[in-house]
Amino acid sequence: MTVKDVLGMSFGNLWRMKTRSFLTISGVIIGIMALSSLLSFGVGMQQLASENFELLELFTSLQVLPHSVVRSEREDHTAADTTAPRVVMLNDSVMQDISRIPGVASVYPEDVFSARVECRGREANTSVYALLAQMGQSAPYSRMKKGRFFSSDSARETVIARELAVRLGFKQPDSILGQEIEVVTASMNPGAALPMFMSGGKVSPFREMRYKLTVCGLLKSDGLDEQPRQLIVPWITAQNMEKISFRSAFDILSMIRKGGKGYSSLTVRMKSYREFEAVRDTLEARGYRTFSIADQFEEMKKAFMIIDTMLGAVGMLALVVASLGIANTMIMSITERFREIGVMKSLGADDRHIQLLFLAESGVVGFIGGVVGLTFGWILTRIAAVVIMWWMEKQGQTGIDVFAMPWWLMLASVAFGVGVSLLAGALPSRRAAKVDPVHSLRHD
Amino acid sequence: MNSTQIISISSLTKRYTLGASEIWALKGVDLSVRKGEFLSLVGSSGSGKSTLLNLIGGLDTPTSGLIETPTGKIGTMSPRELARYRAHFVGMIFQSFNLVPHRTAQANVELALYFTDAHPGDRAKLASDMLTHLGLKDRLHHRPADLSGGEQQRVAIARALVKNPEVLLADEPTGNLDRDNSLAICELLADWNRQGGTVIMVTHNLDLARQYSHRVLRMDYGVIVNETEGGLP
Ligand SMILES: Nc1ncnc2c1ncn2[C@@H]1O[C@H](COP(=O)(O)OP(=O)(O)OP(=O)(O)O)[C@@H](O)[C@H]1O
Ligand SMILES: [Mg+2]
Repeated sequence: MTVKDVLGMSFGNLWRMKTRSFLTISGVIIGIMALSSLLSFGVGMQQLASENFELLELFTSLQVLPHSVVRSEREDHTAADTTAPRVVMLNDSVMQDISRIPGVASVYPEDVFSARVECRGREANTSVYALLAQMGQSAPYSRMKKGRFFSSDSARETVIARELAVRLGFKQPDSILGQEIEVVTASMNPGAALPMFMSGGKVSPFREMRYKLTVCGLLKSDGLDEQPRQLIVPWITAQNMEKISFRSAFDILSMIRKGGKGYSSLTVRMKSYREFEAVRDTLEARGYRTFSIADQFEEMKKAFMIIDTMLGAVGMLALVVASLGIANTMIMSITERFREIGVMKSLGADDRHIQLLFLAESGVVGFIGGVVGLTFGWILTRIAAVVIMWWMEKQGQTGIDVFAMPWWLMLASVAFGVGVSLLAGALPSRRAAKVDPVHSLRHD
Repeated sequence: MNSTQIISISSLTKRYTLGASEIWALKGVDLSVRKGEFLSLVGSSGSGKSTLLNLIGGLDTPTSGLIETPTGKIGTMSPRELARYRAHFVGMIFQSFNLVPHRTAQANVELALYFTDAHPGDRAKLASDMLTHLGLKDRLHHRPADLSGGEQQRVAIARALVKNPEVLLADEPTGNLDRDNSLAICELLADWNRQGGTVIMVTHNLDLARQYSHRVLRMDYGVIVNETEGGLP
C-alpha cells in the first residue's frame, strides 16, 4: 500500500459520505477559524506594540537614575557593606565610566526641573527637560510631528509636546510653531530671607526668573512613552537658567552631602538590542538604578502571553468539540465498514494498514478543515480589520491593523487541525484495526 | 512435507470461548493437501469446516497444532508474516461474496493487489484482464448491487485469483446460487485447478463435491471422519 493509496482511499471515503464529511469537517473549520482569528488578534496586538517600541528605539536605550544602593539587598554583599546606603552621583566621571561599558553607543545627561510656561496670557505648569542638541539625531526626537529639534545646545529654542500646546490654548497645536513662550523658573532668593521673616511668611523666599524661548518643534505623542516629555530645552540654555533642579528630594540630599552636583538622569543608548541585557546587568551590578521601556516590555510580553493563551483556549474549546465529532464519525464508519475491514484483512492487510487508513481519514478531515478554517479565519480578520479601521478613523484616530497572520501562525493552525483530528481518530482507528476478520466475513 | 505436498496439517485444534463456555470447533485435524489437488470438505452444519478453512487462510490462529506451508508455519508466524501469507499464498471466496459495495467490480479486484508487491500502475490492467478472462468484460464498472449473484461470485473469484495465489479456499461458494450458476462457478474453479492451482472447497452439495474434486472429506464435530475418492482421477 502506497501513500497515494492511503490518501486516495481516505478522500474517496469522505467524498462518498458527502453530507457527513461536510458536517464533520465544518466542526474543524469553525474550530480552526476561531483559533486562527483569535490568535491573529493576539499576535497582531503584540507585533503592533513591539513595532512601535522599535520605531522609537525604546529597546536600545535606558535611563540611569541616581540611587542609593542598599547593599544588604544584594546577593554578593559582605558584612561591611551592609552598614550604609551608597550614594551614586551621576556626574561626568560616571558618564565616562558608563560609556566604556561594551555595547554602549553613547551616554547623554538629562536634567529635569519644574517650571511654569506662559504664552499669550495662558499658563501651564510642567516639568522641563534639558537635553543635548545631538539627541535630535536619534529617536524619538529625530521624528518630530512638526518643525525640528533645537539647533544647538545654547539656542534659545524649545521643543514642545502637543498636549502642552493644547493646555496653552492652541486649538491647532501646530500653530504654536514659531511662537515665543516664557519659561518661568523659581530660584532661591537669598535676599528675601529677612523680609520673609519680617512679613510672617508673606514674602516668598523664592524668586521668579523668566526666560523667553522660541518654539521650534512639536513633539509626536503616541502615548507609549511612560512620561512624555512636555517641554525640552537645550542643555546649555538650561544650565544658564537660575532654577532649583531636582528630580527627587534625594538629589538635594546627595548634593548637600557630597557638595557636588549630579545630573538628574543619564540616557544610555546601546548599539543594538542584543547588548541590552548585558549592559543593563553591568550597570545594575555597578550599583546604578536603571529604568527602561524594554524592561517594561518584558512585563508586557508576559501579559500578551496570557492573553494569547486565553484566546487560544477559546479556539481550542471549539476544536475539542470538533474532535468529538470526528471521533463519532470514525466510530460510525467502523460499524459501516465492518465487512470491508474483514475483506481487506483477508486480502492481506494487517492491523497497521487498517489503523493507518482510518488515521489518514481523520488526518484528511483535519487538513481540509485546517486549510479552509484558516482561509475563513483570515477572511474574518480582514473584514474585522476594515471595520475596526473605519471605526478608529471615525473617532479621529489613525486606523491601524490590529491583526497579524504570520506564516508560523498559518502553519501552526493547519498543523493543529491535523493534530487534533489525528488524536480524535487514534482510538477509533485502533478499534478498526482490531476487527476480527472471521467475525466480519461470516455469512449472515 | 514432501515435494507434492503444499499444505500439511497436524493435530490442529481450535477452541472458542464464549463467556464461561468453551467450544472446540476443531478437535485434532490431520490433513495433507497435494499441490494441484481439488479437495472438497462436506459435513453437517457446525462441524468445523469454515473454522478449518479460516485457519488455512490465515484469518485465525490455531489453539494448538500446526499448518505447514511452503511460506511458513501457521501458528508460529508473526502477525505481519501472516498478513503477507494471506496476501500472496491464499485466495478466499465466500458464500456471501463479500465484495465491497461501494467499489466497482474492477476496483474490488484491484483491492487485492494493494497488499501485494504488484506495481500500482499495473493494478487496473491486471484486474480488468482477470475479469475479462472470467467473462465479465462488460461488467468492469458495475457495482456489486448491479450484478447478479453469479456475477458477484465471479468478481470474488477474480479478486482471489488476480494475485496468483498457490491455494484457493472457497467456503460454500455456490451456497447462494442457483444450479446453473453453481455449475458455472465450479467450472471456473476446476479450470484454475487444471492449470495447476490447488483448491479447497467447502460445500453442502455432495454432487458438486463428487463431480469436481479428487478427494471428498467429511467432517463431524471438529474432526475428519471420512475420506472418499472424488470424480476426478
Ligand atoms: N467466533 C466464534 N465464536 C464462538 N464459536 C464459534 C465461532 N466460530 C465458530 N464457532 C463455533 O464453532 C463451531 C464450528 O463452526 P463452523 O463455522 O466452523 O461450522 P461449519 O462447519 O462451517 O458450519 P456451517 O456448515 O453451518 O457453515 C460451531 O459450533 C460454531 O458455533
Ligand atoms: Mg461454515
